[in-house]
Amino acid sequence: MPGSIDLLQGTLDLLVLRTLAWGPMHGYSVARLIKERSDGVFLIEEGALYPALHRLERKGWVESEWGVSENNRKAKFYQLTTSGRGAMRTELAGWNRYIKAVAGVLQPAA
Amino acid sequence: MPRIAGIRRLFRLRLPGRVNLTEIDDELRFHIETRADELIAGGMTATDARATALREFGNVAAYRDDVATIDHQYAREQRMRLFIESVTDDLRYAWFALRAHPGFSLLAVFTLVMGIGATTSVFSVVRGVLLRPLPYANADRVVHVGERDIARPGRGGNTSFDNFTDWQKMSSSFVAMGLFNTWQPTLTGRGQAARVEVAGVTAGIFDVFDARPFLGRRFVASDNANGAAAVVVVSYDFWRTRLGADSGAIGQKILINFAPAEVVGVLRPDFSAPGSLNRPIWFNFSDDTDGRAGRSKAAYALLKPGVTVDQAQDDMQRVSAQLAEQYPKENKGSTAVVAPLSDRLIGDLRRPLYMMLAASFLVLLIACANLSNLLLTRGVARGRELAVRVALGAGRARIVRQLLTESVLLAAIGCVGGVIVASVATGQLLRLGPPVFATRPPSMDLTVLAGAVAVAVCTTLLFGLVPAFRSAPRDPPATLRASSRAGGGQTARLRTGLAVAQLSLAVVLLSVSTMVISSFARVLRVEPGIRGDHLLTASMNLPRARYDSSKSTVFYQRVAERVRGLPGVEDVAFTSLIAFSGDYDRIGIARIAGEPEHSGSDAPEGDRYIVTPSYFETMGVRLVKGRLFTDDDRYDGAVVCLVDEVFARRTWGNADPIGKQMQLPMRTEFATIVGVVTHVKTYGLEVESPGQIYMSNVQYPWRWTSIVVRTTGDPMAFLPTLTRVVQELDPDQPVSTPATMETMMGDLLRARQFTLTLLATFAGVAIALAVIGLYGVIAYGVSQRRREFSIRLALGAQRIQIARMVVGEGGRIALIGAVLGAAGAFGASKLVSTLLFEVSARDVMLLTLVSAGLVAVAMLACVMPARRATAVQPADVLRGD
Repeated sequence: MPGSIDLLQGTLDLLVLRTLAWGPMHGYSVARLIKERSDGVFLIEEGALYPALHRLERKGWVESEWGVSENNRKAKFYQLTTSGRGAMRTELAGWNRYIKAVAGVLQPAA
Repeated sequence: MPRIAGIRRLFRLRLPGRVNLTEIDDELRFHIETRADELIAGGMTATDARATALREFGNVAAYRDDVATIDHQYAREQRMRLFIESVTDDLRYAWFALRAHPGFSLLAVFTLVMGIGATTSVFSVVRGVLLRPLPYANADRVVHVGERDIARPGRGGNTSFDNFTDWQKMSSSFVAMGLFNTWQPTLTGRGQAARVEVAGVTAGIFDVFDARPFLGRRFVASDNANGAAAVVVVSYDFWRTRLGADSGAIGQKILINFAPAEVVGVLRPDFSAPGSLNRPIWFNFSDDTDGRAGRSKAAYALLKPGVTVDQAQDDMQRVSAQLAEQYPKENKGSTAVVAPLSDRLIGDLRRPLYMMLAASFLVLLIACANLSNLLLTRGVARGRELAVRVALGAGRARIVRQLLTESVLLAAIGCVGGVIVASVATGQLLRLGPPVFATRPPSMDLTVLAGAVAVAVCTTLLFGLVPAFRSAPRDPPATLRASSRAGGGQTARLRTGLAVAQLSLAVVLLSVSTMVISSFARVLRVEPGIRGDHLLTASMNLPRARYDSSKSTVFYQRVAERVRGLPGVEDVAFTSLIAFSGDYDRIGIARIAGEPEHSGSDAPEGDRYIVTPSYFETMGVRLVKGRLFTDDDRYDGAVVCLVDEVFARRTWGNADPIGKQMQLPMRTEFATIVGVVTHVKTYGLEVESPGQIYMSNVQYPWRWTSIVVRTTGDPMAFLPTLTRVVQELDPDQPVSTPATMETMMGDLLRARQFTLTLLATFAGVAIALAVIGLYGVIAYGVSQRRREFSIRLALGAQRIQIARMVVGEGGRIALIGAVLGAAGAFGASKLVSTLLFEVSARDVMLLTLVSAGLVAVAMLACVMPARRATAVQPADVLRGD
């Protein structure tokens, strides 16, 4: 995804954090949830999710553990840490400000 | 995340180490396969499902690499974080451990501060004085070339212009050679009249020291020809302060001794020359009238590239042998000495300073032994604590690391303290040190600081490593089972060994410094030959242009009359040369009536003093035989002179010198010796002086002179009055280089005093450390053996017997240390004997006394522990524990 990766990366991280706020889950579930909740608007490759997850783990925002999936396979489960939860709130607030600002500018003049 | 990391460490779970690539593969495969399964469940064929899943996923290999990269970085950060955490933990733990035993910690830090402080301060001196490169151009190739008697080995002295001219022609080792002499004429016409330091130099000096002019020109060969016009090259500072930094200064005339000299050049601001050549005014050297025997000039030369000092020495030896053959009258028995500039400037200090460095390292070694001992003792006491930690899962390596961390922390504190002590000490050293320190002060630069840190690191390894390995328990369960009273026999032996080593090193230092001190005491007992107290000296220089011989004599008489009449003055005299000032005026007597003519170094030598009759009374020089000068010794009367006992004995043995006649410079008549006076150690108390020849300043008029005033009060306080009296008689006559005789005599002893103070300090520190060390060993031994003592007491032993045991053990250690130390001191005394004055290096008595003294002090260190041992209450001890 050349050209748009930076924007996408920040956004993707936020999407992943928000998704994990639902509870511990493996990468596949994260991908599913994002796809469903966005009505498939985002044209992201599912593989991009994994660098994001590992990046978040490196930041200390999520932690991982091997477990068994619903279909009885060995899967790696991710979970938000306390600091990850805090980070998500901050990022979310930032994102909302961004949206509001953009919306404010884009609103047709009254 | 720190919480997680902490737990992980606690339970020793999966440590972040290598990145597990199969785990990444597993994770990605799970995703793709789960998606494929879903699609198959939705009705796709297996092949299509897999292809779709892969397409949706994207470039698997690329994502796998991305993830691996991130995990790699993550793992590295984790390892780093864990390491830093463990080091901080160790440091925090070490800090608490040190805080928990303030007595131990203070002692350890004190020991280290002393050791590191001693080495660092001496190193700063060595660095500043010896190791700093000389600030002169070509400094590594410039050599001093001087003459000396073949029979008297030593440094080369001055030479004559004629010999120098021949050296230039006959030698083959030098690019250039330069000659100079120095004088202090009066400068007038530029502000207040002042004495200025002038060097008369040949053109070669410019080549030797690469002296390039900033304005104007340098000297050329024709400036040194006979009859050449008087020209000067001045220093940048002189040009700025006295010539008003005027770029038109070139071609102007300045008045030197009331005779005009043209300024032809100004040297560059960054130029400086060594020693007495570094003067504001360089005059062109010309019209030498001193002849081949007039050895009053110094020569420097620049070695050809690739020529060594030894080769140049051989070359000059050949040249001077030829000259001795050619001119036996002046040169017989004389040879040339080539010495590097650095030897010339700082050579005398090299040996004492390296000795100081060695002494400071001894102090450091003692400090290390002391610390090792302290740590060992504490390691045993902490046996249980360490065993518990091992039992809880800490590895032995981890414990060793922990103990080393404590040592490092101690060393760091000690290093900081040591550097602080050293920087304070350096200031004191500067004040105490010999005059060389003024131009080459001790420096606390980065190299010295790096040295201090290096010393601290080595010290840590030295004092920390053995105790760390020793103390880390090998068999924790056994240590835990045994109670704390079980001290390892091996460790006890090691501690005793360290105490012995400390004591013996202290004996070495103490013996050497005792020898130096007694040598100094002997120097101080030497009679200088004058009464040095309450004497003010200052020099005056009557210029030839204004004072001819008779006028100068009258001027001196008038000054003397006026000064003598002032309150607070006991006596006043004039002399051409001040004893102990460091200036010499050696003359050789070629002709003595009734004896064959003396030549070369066979001629009897003495320092020439041209004095007023009151000189002897003023200085406290006593008449031994004959008479002193009187007012009846007139210029046109019979020429007379006095000699001192040493000159008389050297020249005529036991024969009576009164009535002997010899020819002195400046007059053709033979002078008759009318009296013999006591000898003055003019070259310094520990140096042999050649003897003195006194001439009357009425019969030998002399314009360069010094006044000596004996005052009733502080001599320096009299200086303003003296200056006023002289200026009233002649406003253009400056009174320069005022000094008290006591200061001058003290300056000659400064280097010796410096060595002594430092050595004595080191010896004191060494003894303190060694005694502390011994005390530690004995006190610890007592605390470990309380049970044993209790049992002995319970079985009927007398308390005095226990005390005797304890003191006896200390005494045994002290005795062995003293004997070993005495042997070491015997060896060391041979090394330092060159620095001593009239002391035989085998001063066995002294060594015995020192060793005995130390044993006595060491026994004292055992008294406290012994008392504690006897105070044991058997019942309490045996019940407890």
